[in-house]
Amino acid sequence: MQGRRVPLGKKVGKDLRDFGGAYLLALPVIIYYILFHYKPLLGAVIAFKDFKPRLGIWGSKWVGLKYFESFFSSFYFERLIRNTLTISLGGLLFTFPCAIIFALMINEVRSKWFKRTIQTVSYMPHFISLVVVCSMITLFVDKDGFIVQLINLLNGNVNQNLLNIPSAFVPIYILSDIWQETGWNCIIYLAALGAIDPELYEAARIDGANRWQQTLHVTLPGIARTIMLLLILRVGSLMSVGHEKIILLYNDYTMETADVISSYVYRRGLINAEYSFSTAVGLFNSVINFALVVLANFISNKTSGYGIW
Amino acid sequence: MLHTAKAEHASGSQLRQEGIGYSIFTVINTILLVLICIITLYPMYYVVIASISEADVLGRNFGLLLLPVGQINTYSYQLVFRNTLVLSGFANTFIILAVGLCVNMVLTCLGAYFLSLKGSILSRPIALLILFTMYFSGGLVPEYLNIQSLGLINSLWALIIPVSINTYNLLIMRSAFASIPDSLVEAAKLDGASHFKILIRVFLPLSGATLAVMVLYYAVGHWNSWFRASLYIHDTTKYPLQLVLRQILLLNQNSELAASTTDAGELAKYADSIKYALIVISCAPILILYPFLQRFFAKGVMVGALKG
Amino acid sequence: MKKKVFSILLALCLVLSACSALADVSYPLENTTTITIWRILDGSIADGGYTTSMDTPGFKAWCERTGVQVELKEFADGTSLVLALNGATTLPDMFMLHAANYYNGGISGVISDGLTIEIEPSMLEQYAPDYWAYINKPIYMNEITQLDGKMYYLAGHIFEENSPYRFWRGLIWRQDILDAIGRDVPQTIDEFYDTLVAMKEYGVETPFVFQNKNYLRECLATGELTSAFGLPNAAEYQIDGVWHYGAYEPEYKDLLTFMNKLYNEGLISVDYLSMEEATSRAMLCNGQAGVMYANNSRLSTYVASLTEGASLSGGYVIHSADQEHAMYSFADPMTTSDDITYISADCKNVELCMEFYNYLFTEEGNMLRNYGILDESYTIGEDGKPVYTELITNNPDGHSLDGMARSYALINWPGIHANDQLALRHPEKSQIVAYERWSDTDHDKYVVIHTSVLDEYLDEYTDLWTDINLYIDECRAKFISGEMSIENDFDTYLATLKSMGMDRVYEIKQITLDAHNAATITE
Repeated sequence: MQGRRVPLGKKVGKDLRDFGGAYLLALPVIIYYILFHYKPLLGAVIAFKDFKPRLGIWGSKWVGLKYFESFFSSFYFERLIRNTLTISLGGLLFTFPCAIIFALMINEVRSKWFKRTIQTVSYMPHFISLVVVCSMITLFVDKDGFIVQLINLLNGNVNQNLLNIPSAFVPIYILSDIWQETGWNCIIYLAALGAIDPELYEAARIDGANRWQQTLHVTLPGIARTIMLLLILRVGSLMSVGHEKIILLYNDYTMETADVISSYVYRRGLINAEYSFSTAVGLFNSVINFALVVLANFISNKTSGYGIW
Repeated sequence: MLHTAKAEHASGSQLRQEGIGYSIFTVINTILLVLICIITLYPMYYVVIASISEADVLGRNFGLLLLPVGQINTYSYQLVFRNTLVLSGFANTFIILAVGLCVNMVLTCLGAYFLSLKGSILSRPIALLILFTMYFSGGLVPEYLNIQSLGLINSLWALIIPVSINTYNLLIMRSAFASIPDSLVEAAKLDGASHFKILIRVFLPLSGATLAVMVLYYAVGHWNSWFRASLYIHDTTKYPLQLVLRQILLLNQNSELAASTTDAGELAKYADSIKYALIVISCAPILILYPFLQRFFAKGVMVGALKG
Repeated sequence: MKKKVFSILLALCLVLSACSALADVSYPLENTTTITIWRILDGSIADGGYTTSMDTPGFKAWCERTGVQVELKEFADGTSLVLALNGATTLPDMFMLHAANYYNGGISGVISDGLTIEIEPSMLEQYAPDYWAYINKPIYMNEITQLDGKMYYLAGHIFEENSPYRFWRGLIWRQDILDAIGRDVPQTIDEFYDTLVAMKEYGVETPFVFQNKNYLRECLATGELTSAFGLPNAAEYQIDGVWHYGAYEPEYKDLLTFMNKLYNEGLISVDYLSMEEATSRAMLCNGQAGVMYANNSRLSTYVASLTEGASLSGGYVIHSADQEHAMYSFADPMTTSDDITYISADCKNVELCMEFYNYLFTEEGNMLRNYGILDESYTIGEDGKPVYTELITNNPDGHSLDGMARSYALINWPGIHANDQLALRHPEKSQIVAYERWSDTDHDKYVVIHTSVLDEYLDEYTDLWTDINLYIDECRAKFISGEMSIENDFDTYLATLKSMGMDRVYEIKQITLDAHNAATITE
């Protein structure tokens, strides 16, 4: 087909013949997205308006970029961005790989019942509510707790709860995320590992590969597609650090490293239940996130050949 | 089946050839995993024993527990279950799960199949458009108005249809479909199979593990959700379980979030025990569901069967 | 001719007497239609065994006795109610909402968005005379009248005049420890300090604790200790119509110095900003703490967890030696924001709604509202005061007191919060004493009643205040812990606040205060 231009009409005709059945199957899906995602999307224009409910979305006064400016000119703007990105990138660098490594570790277990047990136990912290998890964290990093004692043994000089120390906030946040989420996050990788054709392992063994080489040449490539997909999607939530855990863990000492965009917007909402402001900030975050996802997908396609489309 | 059996037998004899390096690795791996088991199990253990501890003694206690304190009792569970809405909450959630999961799985599979089509003109742009919705939405008010215009307010359908497809899950499913070898698809096409048949006969059987994960994700999503219900369900008898539980929790909290007047809840002293009991109740069904789904994670069960 | 005059006179008399009869609303009403009410769900009725307030005996009685049918819709929370209001094609006849918490712009927002109608005194006189008679006093009117001198809602919970129950938060002391060290409950700042030191010497590890990380700030913001330094509180207050913010005033320096002293001497915990609620409460119960500032008014909440022989008592609001009592303290306003009742712009039967609401203010209605149904949920005790029955206090099915009380009485609806009723639910002598002490202040002299700024400044104020508030919080923590030196850095702190726009905040708040003061009713 190379070099030969196929007229558009012919292309479309062939496409319909080949995939018409599939398009029909996908119709309910398309309708769903139009009805429940695209139809209300127009309402995002609230970010540019001084939204007054009785006037409705279209009747409310247009204020342009007022709320965006309000956000950008905050005294703490740079700090908020910096903290948000630090926590996100930390999660990307540490929390993300842990699920993969953990899945690989489980994969190496031969005993069926041990494997099952680990899988069943490790995801439990995911279901403990955030409030209780944060209570546990607070107790755990207390000055009489095990962690602080360990730190002091190693030449530390800590005489207070670690949550009072700004430089400790991000590590505590990330390590507790790893503890809470790894077991749950690894499930998808376990499924991917299960889908690898055993014949590939067989072939590798016959070629004389040891376990490590098998992992490198069979296992990792086997789950590479899944890893890349989840990595791309993870990059797309860079600006989105949720406010709940932050607010439960931070205090006046650690604001300088802990205060993120979402916690700032939350506090603002306590002063005045503003709607347009939070929509504007949300839009700002979304634009950056989406741009990052598209970029990540492009890079991934070019380098590994895997992507979202 | 034959292949799998052979593979396992072979790996046994390989062990001797793997040598010391691998044995050390196995030992370290096992120790680490046991440690991980303990540190992930302990919080849940703590929650369970705290929920059956005597509230008064628990109130005097500091730090981490190894055993329940005070007299073991199920009072916090009684407090939860005597709430008239808990039973209807369970019923509503089960309905949502039963209907919702069907809708979720059918639509997600159809969508994933479409997005994984190779050679289709439409699938790429539509994938982009769908991805777009993951990042941009109208927000609470436009969504509310939309649901209202569709007549779904105060109906359990408002908790099912608008969340029929989770785009994140859709993309994972699509990825699983895209990894099915083209040769199998071609073979089926040569046999004259329609798209629907290909989906049913080729894609679904080979994606057992991913399908299981999808069921898990959607089920947990439905089970844990309360926010949508708080916005769209106005009839307390239609509240799903998590919304009921949340109301109970708020009622018993001794903080600014509760109705802060002179009428602070007399039950505030049970607030902690109730918190723990709620977690146990919330976690229970997943503990039942997950082992059932684990079967699908076994190595290459599906691939082997098809090839043979 | 005479006959004609006579009959005209007779007719006139009849008409006149009929008119005077109209000044009193008589229940049950006649010719009623159904009214719709929207409000937030009170979860405690589920604790009493009901799924909706419409089924509760209390609410049913209210409807029966007034002869009105009500279609009640209850929402899971404020966000959901506001969304429904905003999206409604027709508003309900009445709705109850804590606007300041959930509605953009607060009560002003509800009014300017056109959701509610003006409530005219002439209408109240006719259709809600009992309510009007009660509320038409400056102490109440100054709270519910808007700047244009008009009312736009019917009040929510109303405290009786001079009710100590408005003051439901304060210091809680371990009385037994005080007894053990031979000290009275402190009143002045020096007594306070000495008592803490004595406690520490006695073996109390951390004498002064706070419920959670927000409560030291709350403690200072509600003036528990600040009067001693000449500061009503560390947050907003007014002196003779001039608005101030405590953390921007020179006296704040002395307050910080005192707190810093407490911190350095271990009288408050080094971890006060990261202490869990469960931990601080456990400390108080175990005797590892001697005094606590918390959100709960009920000592009985802690009692069950106390160790043997321990007891609690409420403490005075701390002041200086030359003050008779403290300048300020925590208090609810006379009319609270919960359950403020709006009659909507779409209401088709305003008179009926007012009459329905008014019932709660009649003698009979007030008893229903506070105690429930005679001989079912309460009886009259020997002293002539109502007493809850066993059905409520010791329910055979195990339902809680609160759950039952809120199902039979209407205490979570608008109306007068009777002192006697509040006393019923806080029966312990120590609780009564606690309220007496917590209310012994000049709170009303310094309070800023209307805390929301004027509409036109709202956006500007929110912009400024979000950042300023954060800076004040961060610096307070650093001053107290010594990370920032009070000696050297206090002036820099003030200067930074100035550059962030604090003076403009003062301006906006002063304009708001002036506007409200100009509209104040004094007779």
